[in-house]
Amino acid sequence: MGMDERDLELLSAYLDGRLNEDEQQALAMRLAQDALLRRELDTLRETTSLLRALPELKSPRNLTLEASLQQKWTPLVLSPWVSTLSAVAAAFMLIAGFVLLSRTGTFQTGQDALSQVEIGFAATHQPVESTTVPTLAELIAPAPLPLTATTPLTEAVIGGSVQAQEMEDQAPGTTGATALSTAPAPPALAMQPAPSAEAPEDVLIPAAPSTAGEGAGSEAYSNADRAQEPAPSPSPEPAAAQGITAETDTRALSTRDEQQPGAARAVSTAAPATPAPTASSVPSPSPTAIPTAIPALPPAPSAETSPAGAVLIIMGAVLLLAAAITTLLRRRQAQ
Amino acid sequence: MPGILDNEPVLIARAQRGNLDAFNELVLHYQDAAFTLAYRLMGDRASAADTAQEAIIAAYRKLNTYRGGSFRAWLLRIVTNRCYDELRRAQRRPTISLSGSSNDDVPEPLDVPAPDATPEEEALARELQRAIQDCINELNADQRLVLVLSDIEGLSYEEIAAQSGSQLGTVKSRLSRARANVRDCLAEVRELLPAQFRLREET
Repeated sequence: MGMDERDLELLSAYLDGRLNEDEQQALAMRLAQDALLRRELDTLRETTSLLRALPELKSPRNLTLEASLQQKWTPLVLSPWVSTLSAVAAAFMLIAGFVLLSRTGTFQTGQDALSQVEIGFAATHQPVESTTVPTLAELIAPAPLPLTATTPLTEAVIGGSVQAQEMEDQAPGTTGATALSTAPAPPALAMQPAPSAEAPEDVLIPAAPSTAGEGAGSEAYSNADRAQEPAPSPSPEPAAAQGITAETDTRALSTRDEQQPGAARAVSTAAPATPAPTASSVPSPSPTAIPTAIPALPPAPSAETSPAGAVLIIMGAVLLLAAAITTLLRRRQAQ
Repeated sequence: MPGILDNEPVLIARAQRGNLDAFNELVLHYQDAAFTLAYRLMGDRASAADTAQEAIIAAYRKLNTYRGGSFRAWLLRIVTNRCYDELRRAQRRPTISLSGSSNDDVPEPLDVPAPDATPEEEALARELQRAIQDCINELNADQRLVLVLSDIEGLSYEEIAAQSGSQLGTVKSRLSRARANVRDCLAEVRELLPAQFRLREET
């Protein structure tokens, strides 16, 4: 029935008593003259009364909730307190991991009286510069990676490393400290690593003089870091990390093989002076974290750090991620 | 349709404190209304029962968002939203047919048929109900929603607009279109209809 849409709306609203007086009068006049319009109205009226006459139906089954059903439909994982709990647990794991790692670091330092001599040796042997800062930045950087797993963060960290490296290249010996302070900054933007990222500045700088007495302290760092650097490396962000380390790789590799044990301990020497987070930032990369940052390098054993701490950190990070995901899911479901 | 429960506010308060029995009492009272609305919107018994069930679970979960007023209306709003989401989802997937005659039987009406109704009359009434539902099923999700809420649930334009997040004008035009579509659809199955329901042909 080719009815004009406007008239259709008019009739429909008329049936619902939704026309104002003028509209109603105008329509009444038209209806009196227009049989087709009248018929249209009648059929529409009958349709609506048919719809209104539809009976209420009986539910084919009870829709009551059982305690078990209720649980089934409210997944435990999605309940708010599970997310909170796992977030708290994750925080504990992260802290415990860092503490554990820092403890191992301190312990080793105490153990290795020789390390400083070796550092001196390493330093004189290999007064290479440019590795130091970028490496440290990277050492710190890997920690946030598993936490956030975002590319922007990675880029920020890498950016910091590159910047630090450039500075170091310009003035190898002297800029070490400042480079250190700039490098960690990007990770600080991320989330957790903020405290540990800043810490190195306070710790490593005072530590440098102490080693300097035995030899070229700053260079000792570079060796030490380099030794750490090549640790295992199944990296998810290989390209970027490679770009950063590529320059230093060749040199680093040459020293690494001879110096590694001593150099690695040299890093630990820096630790004692440091508060927990800093020390942890250095060893943490060894078994697990570093690999993400430096994929190109051959894996080198760094036996001196306990994997337990790193494992805890990773577990904590995973748990944190799970908490975030469940929270998101819950929000979505709530809508 | 059943009225408001005498102790409804008490039951709601207890349910809000996590008392499942109290909530289930409310469910028992309103489940037919919930199912009927779901059936009118979804068009078949199985998915209507499922969607109504999901809506009731959702209602239990967000009982704390109920802030007084008609509990029935609050519950049916949740049912409506669930069904509408389902319909929209189904509409986006053309493999699932929204329209057409439903294969399953028309669910039992709540009211017992009039005592003087002959079996033939009863059967005719069933046929009519099925025909009307089939015609509702032919509508798209938007028209279906407006038609069911207005002409079956008795909501006002304003309430429908608020619930569907549409403009008043949109509600009006969708409703008039939906009514005309159902009328045209019913005209095609006119011969099925008993005399008292048959659309008049005379002018």
